[in-house]
Amino acid sequence: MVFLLPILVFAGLLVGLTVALSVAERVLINYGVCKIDINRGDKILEVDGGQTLLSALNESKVFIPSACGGRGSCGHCKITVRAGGGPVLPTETPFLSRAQVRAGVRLACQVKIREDIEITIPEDLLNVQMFTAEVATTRLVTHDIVEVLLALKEPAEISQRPGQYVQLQAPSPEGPVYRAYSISSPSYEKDTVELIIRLVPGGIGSTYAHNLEVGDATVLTGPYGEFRLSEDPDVELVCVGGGCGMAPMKNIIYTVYERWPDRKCWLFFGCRTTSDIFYLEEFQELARKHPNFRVVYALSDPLSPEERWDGETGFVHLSVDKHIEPGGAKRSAFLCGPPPMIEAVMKVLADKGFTPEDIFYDEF
Amino acid sequence: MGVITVGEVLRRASEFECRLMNFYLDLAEHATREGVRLLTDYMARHRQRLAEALERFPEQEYRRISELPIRYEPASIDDSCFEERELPPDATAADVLDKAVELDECLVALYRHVLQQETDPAVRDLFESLVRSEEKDEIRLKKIKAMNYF
Amino acid sequence: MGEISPFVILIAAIFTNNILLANFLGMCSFLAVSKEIPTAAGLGAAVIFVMTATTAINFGVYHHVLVPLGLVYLQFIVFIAVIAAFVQFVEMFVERFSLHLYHSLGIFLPLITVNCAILGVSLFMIIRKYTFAQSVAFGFGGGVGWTLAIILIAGLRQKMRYSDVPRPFRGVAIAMIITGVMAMAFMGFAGMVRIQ
Ligand SMILES: Cc1cc2nc3c(=O)[nH]c(=O)nc-3n(C[C@H](O)[C@H](O)[C@H](O)COP(=O)(O)OP(=O)(O)OC[C@H]3O[C@@H](n4cnc5c(N)ncnc54)[C@H](O)[C@@H]3O)c2cc1C
Ligand code: FES
Repeated sequence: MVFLLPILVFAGLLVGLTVALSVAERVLINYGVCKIDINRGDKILEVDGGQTLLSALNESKVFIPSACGGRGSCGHCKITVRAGGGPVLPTETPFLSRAQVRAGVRLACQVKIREDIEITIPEDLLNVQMFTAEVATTRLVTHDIVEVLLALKEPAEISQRPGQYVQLQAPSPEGPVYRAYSISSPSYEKDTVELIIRLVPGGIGSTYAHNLEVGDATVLTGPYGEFRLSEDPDVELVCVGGGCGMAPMKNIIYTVYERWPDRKCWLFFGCRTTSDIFYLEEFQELARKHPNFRVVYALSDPLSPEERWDGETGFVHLSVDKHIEPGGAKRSAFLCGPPPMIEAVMKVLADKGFTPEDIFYDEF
Repeated sequence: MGVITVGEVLRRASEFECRLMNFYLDLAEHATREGVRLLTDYMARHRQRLAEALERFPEQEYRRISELPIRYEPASIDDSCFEERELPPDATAADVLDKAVELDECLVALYRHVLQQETDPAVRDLFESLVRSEEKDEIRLKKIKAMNYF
Repeated sequence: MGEISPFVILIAAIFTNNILLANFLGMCSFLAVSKEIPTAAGLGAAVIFVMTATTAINFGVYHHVLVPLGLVYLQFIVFIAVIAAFVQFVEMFVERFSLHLYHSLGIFLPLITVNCAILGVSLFMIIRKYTFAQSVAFGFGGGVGWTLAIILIAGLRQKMRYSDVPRPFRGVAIAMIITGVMAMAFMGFAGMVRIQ
C-alpha cells in the first residue's frame, strides 16, 4: 500500500497529462484542409494540413520520385514551391544550389503543409500512376545482374517514353521504400515493364529484386524522367553505357528500330571483363537487321589468358573517341553510368562537336 | 585545450580537403591501373564540399560566425587520418574507394565534434549541412564502387 | 505568508527577487538565447506563459492531491512531469501560430523543460507557503523578471558585437560578467519591496 499509492497517483497524473496533450494536438496541430495548387491551376488538391507535402501528394495520387522514404537523404523529391512553403530547412540545403533556393526549389518530403501552397512540378509527373504487377520471368544475365519482366495488372498498360524509369516498391523494416529502375522494355510493349537490376551487396531494393520469383506480386510507380527522344529520323543517336547502365539504352534502341528501321544509332558499352558482358548477341542480331545500327563493347580490364575477345579494349570513352566522327551533323547522345564515366564521355563528345543540349545523362 | 574559433575549424577542414585532393592527384599520377587513374583524377576535381557549402552562406554571416569561439577543441584530424592510408601504386579502384570513404569519415568526425557542443544556430546549420554533404559523398562513392566499372 | 498582497509579490519577483539575477536560476538557456532581442523576447514570452501556468497547475496538484494523500515527497518528479507536458503544449502552440518563432527558437523550446527557473518558481511557492493568488502572481512575475533580464542582456550583447572584447573574454565569459554587473544593478531595487 505504501508503494502502491504514489505509483498510482503518479501514473494517474501522467495519463491525465497525456490525454490533455492528445486533445491539444488534435485541436492545435489541426491545420484544417489546405489547398495545393499544382502548375497554376492545372490541378487543385485539398489535403489535410500538418503532413509533409510529399505524403500529401502521394495520398492524392500525385507521385513524386523519392528513394529514401522521406528522410531527406536522397534529394529525389525536388519540386518548386511558389508560395506557402515556409523557410528552407537545414536538412534541405545540401541538396540545393543557390540558384535553386532562389527559384524556390524544395525537397517535398521536408516541406510541411501549414497553409495553402502553390507548387510547380514537371507536367509528366501528373501522369504518373501506381501499378500492381506480377513477376512474369526473371533471368540472371551476368553473375550479379538480373533481368526482371513484370506483367502489369492494375492499371494494365503503361505509356512510357524510352529513357524513363519506374520506382519499384521494396519492403524494409521501416516500411516500404522505393528504388528507381530504368525501364528496359521498349515503349511499344505497353503491358509489361522490364527492369535490369544489379545486385548491390546489402542493398534493400536490389536484394529484393534479385529474390523475386515468378508469380510474385509487386508494386511500382511511374513513369518518371524527362528525357525526350528526338523525333527527327535524321538525328543520329549515340548511346553510351557503363557498368550496369544498360536498361534505358535497350529501351531506346528497340523503340527506335521499331519506328525508324534505317535510323543511325550507336551503342557503346563499357565493362571490365568478358563475364560482365550481356545482351551482346541480341544487339548483334539487331545490327544484322539494321545496318545503320553499330554496337561497340569495350573491356577495360586486361584480358586474362583464358578470355577470348576480339572487340575493343580500354575504357569506353576511348572507343567513343575512336569511332565517332567529329563534325556538325545533327546528333544526340544518351549516357548512363557512374559519374566519372559520364564526365569522361561528355568531354570526348564535346570535342566531337556535341553541344551540352545534345547530351542527356542518367547517373545511377 | 585552447580556445579555437569556428573560422579555425573551417580552415583546418579546408586544409584537410586540400590534402585529400593532393592525395588523389598523387594516386592519379602513380597509379598503374588506368581505371584508378581516371577515378582518382575525377575525385580530386570533385573534392570541394566545403567551398560549395560556404558559397551558399551569406558573406557577412560567414564573417560573423568565423569569429565565434568553440568551447572544446575538436580532436585534431590531420595526421592520424592519413597514417596507414598509403595505397600501393597497384591498388584497385575498390581499394581506393574504400579509403576515400574512410577519409570522408575523418571529416565527418571533425564536424560532429563541433555539433556536439552548444553553438550558434548558424554554425550548427553550416556544420550540419557539411556533415550531410559528406554523407552524400560517401553514398556516391559506394555507388561508384557498386557499379563495378573501374 | 498570507498577508503580502499578490501585487507586491509580482513587483518583487520582477525587480528585487529576480529569479535570474538574484537566484541565478535558468542560466543555460539564458546564455544560449540572449544573442538577438527578438528571439530572446520570444523565448521570454514562452517562459512567462509556461511559468505562470505551471505554478497554477502545480499549486493545485500539490495542495489538492499530494498534501491530502501525504505524498509531498513526490513533488519534484510531479512538478517536472507537469512542466514537461506543458512545454509540449506550448511547442505545439508556437508551431501553430508563429512559425518564424518556432524556427528561431529551435531546440531551445523543448529545453524550457529543463529550465531550472521554472521548477525553481514552483518550489519557492511551496517553501514560502504562498496562497493561490500569490503563487500565480509570483509565477507571472518570475517569468516577466526572467524575460526582462534576458532582453536586457540580449540588447547588451547585440551592442557588444561592435566592441573590442579582449579575446579570452569573448562569448560566454563576457556574458557572465555583464550578467553579474546587471545583478548588482538590480540590487539597487532592494529597498523597494521585500519578500521572503
Ligand atoms: C534514375 C535512376 C535510374 C536507375 N536505374 C537503375 C537500373 O536500371 N538498374 C539498376 O540496377 N539500378 C538503377 N538505379 C539505382 C537504383 O535506384 C538503386 O539505387 C540501387 O539499386 C541500390 O538500391 P538498394 O536498395 O539495393 O541499396 P540501398 O539499400 O539503397 O543501399 C545499400 C548500400 O549501397 C549504397 N547505395 C545507395 N545507392 C546505391 C546505388 N545506386 N548503387 C550502389 N550502392 C548504392 C548505400 O549507401 C548503402 O550503403 C537507378 C537510379 C536512378 C536514380
Ligand atoms: S524523399 Fe528523399 S530527400 Fe525527399
